[in-house]
Amino acid sequence: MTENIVEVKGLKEHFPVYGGITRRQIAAVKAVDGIDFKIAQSETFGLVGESGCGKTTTGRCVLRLIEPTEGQVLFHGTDVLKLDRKELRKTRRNMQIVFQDPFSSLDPRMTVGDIIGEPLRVHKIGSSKEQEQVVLDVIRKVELEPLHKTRYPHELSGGQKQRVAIARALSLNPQFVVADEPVASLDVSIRAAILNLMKRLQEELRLSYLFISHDLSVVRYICHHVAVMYLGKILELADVDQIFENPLHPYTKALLSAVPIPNPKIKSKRVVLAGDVPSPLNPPRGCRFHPRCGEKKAVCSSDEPQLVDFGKEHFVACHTNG
Amino acid sequence: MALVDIQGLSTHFFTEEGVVKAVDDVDMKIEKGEVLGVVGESGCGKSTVALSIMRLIPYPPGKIVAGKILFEDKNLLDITDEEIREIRGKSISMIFQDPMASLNPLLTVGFQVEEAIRSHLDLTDSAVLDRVVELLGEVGIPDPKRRILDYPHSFSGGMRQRAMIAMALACNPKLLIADEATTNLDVTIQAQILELMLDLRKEFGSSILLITHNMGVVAELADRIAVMYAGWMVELADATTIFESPRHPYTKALLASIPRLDIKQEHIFSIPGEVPHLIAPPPGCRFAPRCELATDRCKQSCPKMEEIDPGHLVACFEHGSTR
Amino acid sequence: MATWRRFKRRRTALFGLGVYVAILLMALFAPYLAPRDPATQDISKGLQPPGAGFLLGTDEYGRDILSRIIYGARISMTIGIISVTISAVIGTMLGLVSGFYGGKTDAVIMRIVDIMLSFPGILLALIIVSTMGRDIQYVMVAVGISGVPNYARMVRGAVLAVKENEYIEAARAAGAGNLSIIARHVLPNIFAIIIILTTLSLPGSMLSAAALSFIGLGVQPPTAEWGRMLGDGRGYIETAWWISTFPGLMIFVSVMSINLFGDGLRDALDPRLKT
Repeated sequence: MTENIVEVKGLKEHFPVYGGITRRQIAAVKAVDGIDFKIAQSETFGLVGESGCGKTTTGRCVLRLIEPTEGQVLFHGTDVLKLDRKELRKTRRNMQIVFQDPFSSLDPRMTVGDIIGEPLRVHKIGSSKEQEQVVLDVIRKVELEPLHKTRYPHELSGGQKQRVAIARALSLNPQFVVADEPVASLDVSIRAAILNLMKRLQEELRLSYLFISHDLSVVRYICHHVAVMYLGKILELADVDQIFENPLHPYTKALLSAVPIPNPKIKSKRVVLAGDVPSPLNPPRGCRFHPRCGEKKAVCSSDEPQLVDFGKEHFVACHTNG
Repeated sequence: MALVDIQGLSTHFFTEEGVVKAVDDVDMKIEKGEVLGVVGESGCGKSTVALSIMRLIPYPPGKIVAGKILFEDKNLLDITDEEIREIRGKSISMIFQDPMASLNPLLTVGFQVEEAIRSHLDLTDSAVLDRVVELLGEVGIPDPKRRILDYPHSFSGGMRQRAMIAMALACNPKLLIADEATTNLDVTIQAQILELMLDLRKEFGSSILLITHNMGVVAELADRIAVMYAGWMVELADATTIFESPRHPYTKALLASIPRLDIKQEHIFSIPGEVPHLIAPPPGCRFAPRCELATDRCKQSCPKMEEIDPGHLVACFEHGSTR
Repeated sequence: MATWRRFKRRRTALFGLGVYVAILLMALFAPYLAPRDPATQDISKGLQPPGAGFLLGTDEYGRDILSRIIYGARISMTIGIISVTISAVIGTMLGLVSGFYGGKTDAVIMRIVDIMLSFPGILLALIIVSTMGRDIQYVMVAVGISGVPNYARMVRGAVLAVKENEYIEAARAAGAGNLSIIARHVLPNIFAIIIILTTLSLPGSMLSAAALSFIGLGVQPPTAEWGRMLGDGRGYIETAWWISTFPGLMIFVSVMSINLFGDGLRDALDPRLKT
């Protein structure tokens, strides 16, 4: 049994909203409202959902780039949220991040070599010669050329920029990488290249990914386990084949049916959800999804369903299913 | 006769670094009542074609340097500024990717839809108001009578896009150009908008020029599909043919590189190399540097669009190759 | 560098730079260029119009205007450069801290800046000079401090914009601390703005210094300074126009040259700022 590298328990992130003359807290945006999941070594765990579901915030919380309101994030058994600054800094070497937008995630004033080498410099790892060697190594790993080392971000294409972002994440040889929509900003034909790269690196370096994405097709291709988020909660969590071939939660079914298939002969039997994606400021009572759900029962508007194992580690939070 | 007949369109951008040949000698016809999808990746020129039709190419640095765009017996590139303004918003309308950028945050939504109507139709005030409420209802905005007094910021992304569609349809245009209209929307909202566009197309009979890089969207809506690459059109056929029997190597590669929701894939194909820089494109076929089938002839001369089957055009010397 | 190429294309900017450099050189080599000592008085030769002997004429004390202008360049250049440096250093630090740390620090600093801004620029300088004392060093401090709010505001804005970029978050994820992030990421990216602001503030500073001296609160006699000379010649405008005109012209030329240079620099750096 592979060890769980990352374990998230009861994670909550509530952003206070201040108002009135006294600037007191009048409300909270419950971006993440109590979620649990585990990621094993060499595994890609997908977090999917639409805007406002909390997936991006979760990614930031797991790396403690923002301080969660509640919960635990265990990395190899140690709670990252309880570490002091020094210990956190050391742990950061093992947990890195790749952002969505390759344009703003690379400092335009630094060369590729500097960008990739920065984590090494910050942690004072090795002499400058050794650092240079690591940088060149990593550049090759992401399928760039050594000559790219002296280039500036604006001289690179979108795909190349993203490779640099991945290289930067890898320079400290981490075990865990949070990838926040890493291919969303890239052209279709480049996405495939970057996804293939990530897969290859995972095999080679035994990396674990928390893969955050709104693009279900991409998630199907690269993830091993998937959690579907909605308004700060996980509604369904299962292994990738189960989620896509046997979705149980009405939201998951609607989400999957909404994706247009690149095949003109298949006109999907769409479950069109009424209304808009609600705001996490005021989530509905009971099941968060019930106002838009086509399969709801009376209990759905008063009791919030918990995640229950429906067999084969396929978890669903729904009153109607089961 | 086609509604829009684009012949030999070339639009270039004259920048400090050189001339960007964003659209190079493109022919395209849009028939009455059809949905023509134009697909391609960034830099392929699809948005530039749309802006050229509307004559919205910013000058400097852009300029339509060659070609004709025939619409209802007129060459849109020849008519006066006043005449094209008459056409914009009335006979040909456009919706964009980011509705927030196209909606004025300081004016109510109702006022902006009103504006779209008033600038072309001469109706009484109450007739205009009725039409606005009617339109907002038609595009699926709930409680339209109240919503016309709201400002764009109180609308969600999907609602704003619906408002934009309402503005575009206000005068019953013959052609609606949708430039990445659903790209920024959540997938469930995108589904709603796609359904809406299908319904509206049935009801109004307008033609739609659907510009997108999303092959799923284009498979859902388009009757015919044009594939563009680096400023050229490389393949044109009806939707089924494009997906089932593509002949251009780029089209094939593009389709093979899409991750599929409905199929479990072990590996997806990635096209080696990068999209060429449009300032100094390679001589010969622009896709040749990345093409498995490229021969010397491909690298030196430019293939033109040829009809290989009725209704199926390809610009490739090696389209029949079985390598 | 593409920036240099773009800059070169703007003739006016190059011209501005050339003139300013010429004035700087004039200041540097004043002892070798000036025909006479600027302080030497010779009442017998007073109020002479421009001509042979005294190229630009003499003032009421018989001092050679040309020499005074040449030596005056030293004072004006020095005041301009030093006061702008004071504004830049203090203003940048305030703007940096305010923009980067935000919260209460930001609120407090910005309130102070607002208070400073509520005084008309010259008034602030006036208050400082009249309390601290009249002479060159106080003029420089006064003008320098009065330029701080502008810097603080602009730098803060630039820092806020830079903070939005994900590379800042990436640096944090890599383990970098605040100081490291400010030094390696924020400063280099706001550098262009600071440079532009500096070249555009220089004329203002020179004018402020000249104004202070004009009303007698700045440089004291017998030191030659253009603003001072402009003021001293007030009473002789009709009879000996050259006493005020030439210094006034110099102020105009030097300010114009920096403006032209600054505009060209901003245009050249602008496209880069957009990338």
